[in-house]
Amino acid sequence: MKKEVLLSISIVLLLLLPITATNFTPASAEEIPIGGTLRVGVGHMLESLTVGHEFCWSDEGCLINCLIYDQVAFMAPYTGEGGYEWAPRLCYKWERSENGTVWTLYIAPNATWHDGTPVTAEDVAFTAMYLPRLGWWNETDTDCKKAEVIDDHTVRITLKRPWPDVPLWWLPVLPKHIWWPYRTNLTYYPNTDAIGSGPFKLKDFKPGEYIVLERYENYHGTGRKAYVNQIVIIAYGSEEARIMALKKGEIDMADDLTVAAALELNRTASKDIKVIVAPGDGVNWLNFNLMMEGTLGDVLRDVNFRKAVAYAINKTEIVDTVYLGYATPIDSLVYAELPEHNPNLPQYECDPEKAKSILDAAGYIDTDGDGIREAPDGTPLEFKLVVAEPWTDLFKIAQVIKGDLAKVGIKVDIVVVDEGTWWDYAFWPEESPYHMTLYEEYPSPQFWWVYYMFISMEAGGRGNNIGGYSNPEFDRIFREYEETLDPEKRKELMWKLQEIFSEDLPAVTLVRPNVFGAYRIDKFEGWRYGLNGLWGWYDDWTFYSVHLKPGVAPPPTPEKPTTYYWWIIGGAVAAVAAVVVFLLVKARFIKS
Amino acid sequence: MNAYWRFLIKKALITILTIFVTLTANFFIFRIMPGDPAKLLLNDPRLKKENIELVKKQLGLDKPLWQQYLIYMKESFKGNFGISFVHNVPVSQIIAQRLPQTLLLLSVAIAISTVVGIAVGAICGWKRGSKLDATLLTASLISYMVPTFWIGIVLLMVFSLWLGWFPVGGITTIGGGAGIPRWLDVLKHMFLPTVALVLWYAGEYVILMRGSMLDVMKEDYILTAKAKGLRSLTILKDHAVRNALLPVVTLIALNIGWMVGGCIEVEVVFSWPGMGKLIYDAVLKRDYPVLQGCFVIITITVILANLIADLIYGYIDPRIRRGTM
Amino acid sequence: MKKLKGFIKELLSNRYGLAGVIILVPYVILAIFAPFLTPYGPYEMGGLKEVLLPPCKEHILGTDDMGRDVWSQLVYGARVSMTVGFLAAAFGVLLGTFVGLLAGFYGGVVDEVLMRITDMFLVMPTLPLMIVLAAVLGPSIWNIILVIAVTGWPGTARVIRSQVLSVKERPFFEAAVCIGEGDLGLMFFEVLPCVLPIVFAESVLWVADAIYSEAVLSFLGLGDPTHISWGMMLNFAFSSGVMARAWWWVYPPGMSIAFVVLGFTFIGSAINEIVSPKYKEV
Repeated sequence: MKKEVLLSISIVLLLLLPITATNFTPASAEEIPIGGTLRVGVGHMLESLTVGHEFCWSDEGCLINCLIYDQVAFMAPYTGEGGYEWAPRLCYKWERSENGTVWTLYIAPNATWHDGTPVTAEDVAFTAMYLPRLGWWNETDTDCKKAEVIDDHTVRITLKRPWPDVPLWWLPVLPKHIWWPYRTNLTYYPNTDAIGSGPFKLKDFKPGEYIVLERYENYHGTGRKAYVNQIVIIAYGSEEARIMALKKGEIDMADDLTVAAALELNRTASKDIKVIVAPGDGVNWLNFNLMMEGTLGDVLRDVNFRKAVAYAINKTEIVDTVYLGYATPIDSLVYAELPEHNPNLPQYECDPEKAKSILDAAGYIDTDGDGIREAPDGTPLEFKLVVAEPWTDLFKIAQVIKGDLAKVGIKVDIVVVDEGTWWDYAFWPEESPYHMTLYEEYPSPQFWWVYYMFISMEAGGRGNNIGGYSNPEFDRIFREYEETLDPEKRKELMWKLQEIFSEDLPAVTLVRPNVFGAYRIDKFEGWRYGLNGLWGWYDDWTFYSVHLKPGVAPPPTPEKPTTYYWWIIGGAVAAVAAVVVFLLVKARFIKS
Repeated sequence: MNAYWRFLIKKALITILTIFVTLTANFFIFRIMPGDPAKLLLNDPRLKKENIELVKKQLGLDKPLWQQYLIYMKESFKGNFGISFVHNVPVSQIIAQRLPQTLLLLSVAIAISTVVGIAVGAICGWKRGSKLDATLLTASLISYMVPTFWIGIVLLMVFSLWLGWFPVGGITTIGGGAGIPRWLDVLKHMFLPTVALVLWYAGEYVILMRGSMLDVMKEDYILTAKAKGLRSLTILKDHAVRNALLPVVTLIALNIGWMVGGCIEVEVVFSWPGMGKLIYDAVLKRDYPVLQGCFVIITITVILANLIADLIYGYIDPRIRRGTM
Repeated sequence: MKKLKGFIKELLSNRYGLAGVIILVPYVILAIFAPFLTPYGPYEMGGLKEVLLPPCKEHILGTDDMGRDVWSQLVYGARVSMTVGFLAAAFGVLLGTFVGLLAGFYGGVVDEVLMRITDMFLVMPTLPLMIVLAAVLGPSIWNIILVIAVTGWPGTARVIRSQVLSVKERPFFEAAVCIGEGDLGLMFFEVLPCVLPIVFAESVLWVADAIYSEAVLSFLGLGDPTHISWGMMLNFAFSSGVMARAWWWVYPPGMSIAFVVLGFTFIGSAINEIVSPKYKEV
């Protein structure tokens, strides 16, 4: 009897064991250790934390303002499959009116500023009405007509134009109680404390050199959660220095490496360093100046000529020589993996023979046998291709294109100008002496705005349109796209837009370069990367997934300089003194 | 009135005029730069182009040129050089932060170079034609001729990247304490750029000192001293070197004046956050206010340094003091 | 012609002159015969396989981070560096001589004004000024030449002016004035010939300086990317992030700049030595 009781109790206990075991297995989210200092190496650091141009537009500015401040929502991590979604940040919910101009945003009730004050709808309304008054924060989705405070945690924004996506998503929400006195010009406030409501708060900042952020314990945690205690972002003046720092372990991550440096790291680095290749978010293209006067201008305006150029260019060669294989040829300015990319576009594969026959049929024949074709009136087809000086990759692409076009009888001269001059001509193509140019843009998954560069001048393209393309149907469809809120209809319109673009060829799309990043795996894990590397202006998610490896002790405090250096410095001084003494003795000034 | 005082006043007046003219030239050089900074700052199709006017207004570029000029002159005397286009902080603040760092690096380099340069130069001049002279002269020529930025690159390659003895740039490591450890850290970062600079400056001083010594030694009073039977060392010390020093001192004064502009080559290679690097970065981004501020400071410092050098020279050279010049 | 031969002989017998010529001749040959000395163009980018190769049979000085042959860049770069040096020096010397001649000859107000302007330029540290001007004018090879000439002429002007002042004291000059030669005649036929030797010495030293300046400007990224020069090579190397590994990319251009500058300086000093004693006898 006792034995059976014992047996049944054991069986019951055994049966209970798995349940108790699962109860004791901690959920993985709870187990992620919180701690550690993540060190990031970048190329430049801000000189100030004022909401100026640098804060808004530079790489490090975007990162810092994402970490210290909250945005109302943010682009969710890019999955590469179906476009993008919106993740909550400061606002956990939002509603849109039928016509898309009125948005109601619901703010997380437990959100607080780093100084302890609660975040309210007043702050969001203030930010919405005053921050876009500074030119560089002003875009269609931040252009607000009015902002009403419904209650402490609800705000209603009315935009000037209908918008399908969450507005204001890339504005840092500013605390009204601090910024209100500066509302006429927000850049006047030095912002040395940088009080935000984000997961990190400012600890130390040395302009131009580094910034130290520490974890904000009371972050509301609606859309993101941080697992590192401190983030240090350090600027390195040269690529060498940055990579050396990564190799030595002085920093844990470095994004946006040159191709050669990334390959080098991959080749030589230890098992502690991983190099990633991201698909990249840049697209580049060859733009034609369609407002040029004269015979050559007419040639440029002849769509057959442009088609021939498209067939002549060898995109694979560009990928191989300029990007060493790390780029993808593109047929549209919309990323291939987005649903709004039209999969049926004409491909214009490299076919010099076809290019030649098109040129022949169009009447551009080499009459004097010098290898360069002439227009029917005798003008030789010699074009100037202008590139801005800082854009070295585009310069290399220009050289490839020059060679490709020479093969089909078109002569191209490459001209390099400084960036300022380039932009001057870009805004006024009818005054530009250059026939073609190369440009690279970074559409991001929210890419539609890149087509602003092809809206005709009459329809509002002045200041964006760098080639003077003018097609009323294109304008009409783009405007319709802007106003449409239904995703299916938008897709249809965008497909049509790309079709027109590929038929008209105001520009020949070239390639999409990959982006390289590198990180160390000895202390941290949970690394991820998105479209443009480990982080970008619309993707800071790496900072919320990275965490210390369980069981790894927090990294030791930075080593103090050792006496080692006293020896070297002392040695050098002694050497110099010795040489001087030696010389004096040799010259018999000092009796030895 | 003493001839020297007349000399001094004349020099002072010319100095003031030069400062004024230079300030004006400063202003106009930057205004003729092509490339509207407002456009450069807003060069993204996402941004509405109407905002260019807004930005221009915020940068103060919408007023007519002569108004901008008057504001510039008035503010420059107050030390207010405006607000940086790119960084949005007062230019004087940025300069105040960078200037000491440049001065630290350059003053140490110039101090070391002065001692080494004058000593070696004197020896070369004294022992002209000897093997020692030839070797030292060639060594100095080489260290002066070799591009400083290249020496910097080589030093970086060998001592920082291969051997790892020194950091690869910058001025400190993050969170490197305060007090003594911090100073050691700065010294560590300063070592290689100082070596690069000393090679250049010392080379220059040696060549100049040697040449000056050669000229001086041809003079009659040296012959007289020798005839008097004075020991070589005395002649060298009291007669030759002292007189030969004059041109070198003038150069050193000039160099001290130019110190404020930093050494762009070295600062860029070693990422030393000083005035040189500031100027370089500002040029790339067309940050007019920063450039204007830097140039004003440099020119005024150099003009003043020149004035002081002239005054010292005038004082030392008895011909001027007595008014026979 | 005889004078030229005599001059060359004197140059070669001077220790420094000889050294300078020995150093420069190989580089001049490189520059002139560039296309024959290498099968590759300086811009030919290899593919992935050709990136950062150390010196080997196909590439004597290896390749850079884009697979371009370093020897080709060196050889074509010699052309650019030296041409820019010569042209910049030529313009600068022309300008400086002209100003110095006018100032020294006319004296008085003209002299004061010209010298004030000269002083203003002398006061500026040349490199920041060059950088600003180069950025202002844009990245073209002619702009670089202009910038170097414009920032350097004051030094020459001063030297020429003091020479002119000394020539004015000479008896033959006073004689010419008495005869009644016109101003222009005096300037160009009496003063200039005496000053020419110094001008010549100055120009050579100038070339050295100009080559150095072009290297610095290109290194800082203000050069013309369509004309690869030694400074540009160093700029590419430094910003590639792989400099530490590619010593074959860093040493040749740097040493070349040093040698060429040294060579011209030696020749310049030699000319100075030759010219000065002779001049004193006149």
